[in-house]
Amino acid sequence: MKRVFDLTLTLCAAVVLAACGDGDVSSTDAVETASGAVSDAGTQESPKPGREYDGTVSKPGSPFAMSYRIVGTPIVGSPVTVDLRVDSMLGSREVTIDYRINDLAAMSLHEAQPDQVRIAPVENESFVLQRVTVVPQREGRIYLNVSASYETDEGSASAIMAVPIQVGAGGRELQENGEVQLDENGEAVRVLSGN
Amino acid sequence: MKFAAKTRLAPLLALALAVTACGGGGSSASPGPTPTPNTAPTADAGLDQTATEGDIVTLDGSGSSDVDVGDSLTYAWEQTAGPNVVLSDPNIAQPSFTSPDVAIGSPAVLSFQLTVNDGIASNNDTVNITVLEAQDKVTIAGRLFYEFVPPIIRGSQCDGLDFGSTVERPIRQATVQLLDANGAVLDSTLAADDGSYSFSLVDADIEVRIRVRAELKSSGPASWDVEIRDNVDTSPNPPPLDRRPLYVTQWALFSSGVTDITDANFTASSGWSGTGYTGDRAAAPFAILDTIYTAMKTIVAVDPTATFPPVDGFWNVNNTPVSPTNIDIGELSSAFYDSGIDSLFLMGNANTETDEFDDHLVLHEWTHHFDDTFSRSDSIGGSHFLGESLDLRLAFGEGFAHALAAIALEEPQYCDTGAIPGGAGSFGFNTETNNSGTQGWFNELSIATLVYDLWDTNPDGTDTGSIGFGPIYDTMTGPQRTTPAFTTIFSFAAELRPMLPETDRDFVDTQLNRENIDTGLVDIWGDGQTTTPSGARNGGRDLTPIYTEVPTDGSIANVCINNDYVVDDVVNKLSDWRYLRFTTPTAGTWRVTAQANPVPPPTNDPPNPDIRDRSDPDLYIWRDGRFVTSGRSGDADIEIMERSFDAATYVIEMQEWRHEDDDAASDFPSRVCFDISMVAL
Repeated sequence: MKRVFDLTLTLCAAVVLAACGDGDVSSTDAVETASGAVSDAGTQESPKPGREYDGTVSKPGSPFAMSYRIVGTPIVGSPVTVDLRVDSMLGSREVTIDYRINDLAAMSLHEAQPDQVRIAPVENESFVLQRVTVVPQREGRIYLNVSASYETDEGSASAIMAVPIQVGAGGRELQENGEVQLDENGEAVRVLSGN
Repeated sequence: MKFAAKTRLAPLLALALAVTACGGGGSSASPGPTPTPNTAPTADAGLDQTATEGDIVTLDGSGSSDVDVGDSLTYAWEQTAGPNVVLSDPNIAQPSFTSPDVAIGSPAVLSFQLTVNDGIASNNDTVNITVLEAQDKVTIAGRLFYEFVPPIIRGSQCDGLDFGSTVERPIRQATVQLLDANGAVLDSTLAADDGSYSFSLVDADIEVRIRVRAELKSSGPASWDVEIRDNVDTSPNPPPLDRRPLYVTQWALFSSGVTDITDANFTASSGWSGTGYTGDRAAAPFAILDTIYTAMKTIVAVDPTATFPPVDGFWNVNNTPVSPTNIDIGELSSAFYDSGIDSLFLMGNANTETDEFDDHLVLHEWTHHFDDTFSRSDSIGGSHFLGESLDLRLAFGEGFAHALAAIALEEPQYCDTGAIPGGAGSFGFNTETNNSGTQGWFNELSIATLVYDLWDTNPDGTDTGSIGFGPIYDTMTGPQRTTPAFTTIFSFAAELRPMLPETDRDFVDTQLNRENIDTGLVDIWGDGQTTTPSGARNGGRDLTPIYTEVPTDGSIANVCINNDYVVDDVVNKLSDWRYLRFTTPTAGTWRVTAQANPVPPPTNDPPNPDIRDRSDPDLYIWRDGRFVTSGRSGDADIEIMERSFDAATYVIEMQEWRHEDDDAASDFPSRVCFDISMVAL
């Protein structure tokens, strides 16, 4: 976990540091267990949420904070387990969790893994835990997109997080948008076609 | 055009005679076929044209017609007005001529009449050719727009982007450049608020293009410097962020011509083709830029000479919600503002999150920049979600950011849109009407609703008035900058009230009460808070007093810290940090002691060879918003500081480090109390 206050001091300011999120969580060796939540996929034992997680995503105003932990080292062709935690103030309200992989040639959900689960927090808890299994098909930095949503009287609200599965040493495949050129002052500009 | 009635009597009569001569068999003469009437042709001299002197102009009568099958037309062009010219052939459908010289500012109008004839009847039409002087220099003017895609709103929630409702908005105040075919900048200007621009004295008849830079530059009277850049760079040695590429958008080359151009209008496309992004997403940087401009105009409306420090916005189509943050490859754990480099970072990956059209979110982050540079924010940041009970400084920073976004956009509905298509990751709330969690001074949405309702004029329950934005701005940029307290709703409210007439103070108090904030005493310390908020945990322990006064005579104050409100294990929640204050009567050296009392018992987290089951109080001391000193020794159960202080009022924030320590014993107590004392040395 990033120590928020220490970072603030590092920046020599008592002002905003990544004020809306940046809840990075570093992994530790400690492993604790807590009772998992009951889901459509069954009862699961998952690590205690919080500081054991590899990362947390939460946007300003979001109804959720989402955390993940990758168990083991991903390799091509072998199932990889990802532990998920979704925090909210929803009480006992049911949450739907969806999994999506954009490049199925790069990674797929395990054959026994449903792409959607509906789950409610265990009593007196404000989070749900899930475990999802994927199978990398090639090396590189591949993303499992996880979204959590709930229904309200005024529509659906959801949040999304991309879990980075690093397989081997390959890097991320980047999408292009325009091209970099030098402007009249020799400074780099990214030129977009307006048409 | 005229219509000439006629019959073809001659051919029909000859045919009738021939039939009779051949002995058709009848003894009596029968009547011949009915004569077919001729229909006159229709002359069409073509559209009126504008030409420049010396141009080859072609007249076009090819649209003339005749409904009668087999009729052929003849053409006759005749000049009826204007300086005489010589037609290449006046008897063809499309003759041409060389336009004559004309005087400066005196265009000539040449008129031609076309007569068409089908052998029996004729018809005519006219056309005018306006001839202009050829210019050595021309003016190129037009308007620039970007495509803005609004959100789909259902109730108070948002459900992705509504591409079917895309609108064009003017690109305001951005730098517009005129480039030649080699990319050299011929001229530069700023787009006006309606997106209009103009370049004069441009060489005639050359190839040029329009380029617009995603930047706002002004040197006064209100000054600003905003740039939208690309953060992603996977090269081995990427340059510093402020030297990453600035976004520019340009359009195709066109001829400057020999006359003025007034309609060189261009639009930066969203890149959406109906089913996905297939083109450059050129609108995105300008959507972000324009949203920031909207906020700056809100400020300038109450402070016409405002000086906005430089700020950069970073966006890339690969920016994805991934934690931990790695800016170079586009992995961001959130949209966020980094005060250390005066930059805000926004998502752009259509598979997960795009932020460029989420104007409330953009302004939320920009407001952190405003707080950082125009005002003061003591927010400790960190991950959180809506409805949590937060550290007061974080709650105020986040709530004020929501409110200022809604004020600047004059729209209380907050939207954050997600993946395309489908909208996964989308959410929203109404700043004015929605609640989440326990309302109070620790809830960002309470703060947002309160500040927004102070400004808005829409009657809503107890919100029946408005103090306008001026007093809010004056508070934030005035006393809030130097308040000896931390920046919270209490410092804001206490500093705002004296600026208002009594009726408005009552209005403020009503809004505070609505958010469960006591108003019997409204001071910067929140000393008037006596009511335990409904929903407070464990009986509302360790919430008040918000600041504990530390005596300077050696007597003891006892303060407890708990993590009752920690939900996602990030220690930025209510009661994670407790505030203290002291006023030194004289300058000198003082000993400040925080001693755990009672000392937490050893835990059952075996084996415990270290002190991770012992308390570790940490103290940070501030004066008027400036960091003074800290005590973070790591000594078990106690922190002792000996420091020099001026005669002044100081505030202390204190935490139990073990609540944040990754390696703390798992069953370390969730609540620890301390005896705090100060003695002069």
